[in-house]
Amino acid sequence: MSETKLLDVRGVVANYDSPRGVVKAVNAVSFSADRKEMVGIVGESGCGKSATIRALLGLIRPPGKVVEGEVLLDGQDLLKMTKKEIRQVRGDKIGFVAQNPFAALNPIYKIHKQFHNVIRAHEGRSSSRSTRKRAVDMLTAVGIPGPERILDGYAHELSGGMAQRVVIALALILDPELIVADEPTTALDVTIQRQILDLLRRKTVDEGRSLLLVTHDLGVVAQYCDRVVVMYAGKVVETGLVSEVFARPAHPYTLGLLQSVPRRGLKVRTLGGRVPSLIDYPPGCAFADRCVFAIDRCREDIPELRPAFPSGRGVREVRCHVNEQEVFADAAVDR
Amino acid sequence: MPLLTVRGLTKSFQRSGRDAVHAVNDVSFEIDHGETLALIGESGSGKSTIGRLLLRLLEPDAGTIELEGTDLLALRSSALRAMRAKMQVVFQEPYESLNPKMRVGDIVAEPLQIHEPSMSRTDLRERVRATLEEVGLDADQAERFPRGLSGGQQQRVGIARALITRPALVVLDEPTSSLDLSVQAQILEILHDLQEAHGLSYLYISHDLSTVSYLAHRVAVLYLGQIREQGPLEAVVQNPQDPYTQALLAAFLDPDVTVAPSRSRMLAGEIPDPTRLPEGCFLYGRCPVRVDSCRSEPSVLRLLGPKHYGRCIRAPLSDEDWNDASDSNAPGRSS
Repeated sequence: MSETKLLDVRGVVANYDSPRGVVKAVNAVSFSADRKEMVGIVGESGCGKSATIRALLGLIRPPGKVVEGEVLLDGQDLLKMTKKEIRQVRGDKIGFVAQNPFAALNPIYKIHKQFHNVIRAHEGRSSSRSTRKRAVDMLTAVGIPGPERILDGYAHELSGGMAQRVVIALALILDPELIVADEPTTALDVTIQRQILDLLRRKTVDEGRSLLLVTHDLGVVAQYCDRVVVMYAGKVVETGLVSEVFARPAHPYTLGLLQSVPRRGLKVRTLGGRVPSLIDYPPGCAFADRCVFAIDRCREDIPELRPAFPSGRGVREVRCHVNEQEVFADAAVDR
Repeated sequence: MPLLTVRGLTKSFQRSGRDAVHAVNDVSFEIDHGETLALIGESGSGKSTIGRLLLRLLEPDAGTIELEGTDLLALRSSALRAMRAKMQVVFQEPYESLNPKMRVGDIVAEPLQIHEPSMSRTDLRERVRATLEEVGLDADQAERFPRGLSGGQQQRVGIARALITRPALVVLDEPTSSLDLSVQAQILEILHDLQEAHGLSYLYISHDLSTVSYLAHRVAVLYLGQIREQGPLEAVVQNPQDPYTQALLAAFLDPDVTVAPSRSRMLAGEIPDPTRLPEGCFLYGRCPVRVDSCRSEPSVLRLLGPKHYGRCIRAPLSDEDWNDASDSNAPGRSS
């Protein structure tokens, strides 16, 4: 394990108690993120991607509970921290950007007040003038014209794109090392999406941070992320460099997702079925019932993460009993 | 004769004490039998308002709408109700558009009970069963309630309900944008197969280029309630002539990692306030390739190629036009 990993998530298990049984939302999830790296977490709804980032932000609340694992940020385990400590880390070391900027901003406080509150909560007493100066600088850095005017206004006066820039500025105001963004552009228009993703990329790569980007949009991952973590039914099923994973998918689920993107002149290949219940985890691979490659072993024996395409670039892992060459050969038929 | 002919459609929303929002501005298009026209645009482009005007869920300020030669705007009560059987709609949020207290079978049967009240119960049940089957649902799912179904199954119910009166035209208002990728692919496939089987015409309202490319025969690109460019899918997607279309296409993030994103064709700023429409070309304020005459010359759709119309007075636009623009007269980038 290299010393430079900023974030190292190891074997995190998070369960939710429900009347019908225990929901295994995050099932032994491990991945890491380096400085200057954008890591995409992809999968369909219910695959555990949002629960995973909630777990690492210390935001899993009853009836949910993190029961195992470590989340090491700069070597410190966030899961061992008290509520007060973790609250300090969120903001100081981790900036969070949510999907809906209008839900993230307080509708009744002026924008300046929100910057002021964040700075004061983490750094103690500070003058309104000094927090204002920092907010102006940060709003300018995220490309907001006329920051003074914005600070004296309210969230509802902003367009979606501008509101998301304000949320990013708030997430960055304490200079965190890690940015966690949950579908940050899903609620925005496509011509604005690129502006926001370019901004996040600049703030990550140019300023030496790490970015975890949770998304269902494979185009965002393909064009912006360095590495990808593909999740299915609460588990990581494939990881690697985006350039490797998207060009040569090793897991049938990754292949299925890529083939689900409609393209002109090609018949869409559909993944039948849906994500299984996370309460009755099947005895074998959770994807087996939807998988065209499934063999008997897949229904009996839960596959472990193992190396795939060892000759490729970067560390590449897949959770599948089927040989990756066979999966990739099927992908190649489509080209 | 085309199935649907729309001429000069115009709609503004009056608001007490505030300026009117000009949502749809002089929009004209036709849809042939068995054809899909995609209305593509960002939020606020007027695409959903146009769908609602066609269905007469809203009344236009000006313009005509003819279905099979019948002037829809001249119809009153019973004649309008009869015409509605020929024109149905599928909405974006399947769950919100289904009555939670009704069983699936009753939801699907309802339009038929309204339009063919004399139909016997046996015939009705048989039509419901056949229609559910066509959208890939089991007959026994007729007994269930919407909340017990997955998002994809709910949208199938929405499609079955639209289809049961055997309409000629279906307005599809972002029917897959709230669904997961693999489910989206299933729904698109069903829509495609239904069109082939019944010769249906679709007005497909979307902001998503990949689904448009899959389903549409022709495309109309909307901006500020105005069609900027219209033509056969191949012409508009492969040879776009309007700077807005070009920027919209460039903003699309391709999941294919071998395709490099184009960085050069981005618009400055955001969609302007629809209460004050710009003089001349609506895109002027954001357009990197603008010239002075864009503001003085009237903005009209002109023929650019076979059945291909566009508004830009500078068309055809070359790569050099964009490269020159990014050096010199581009409006100030906000990021």
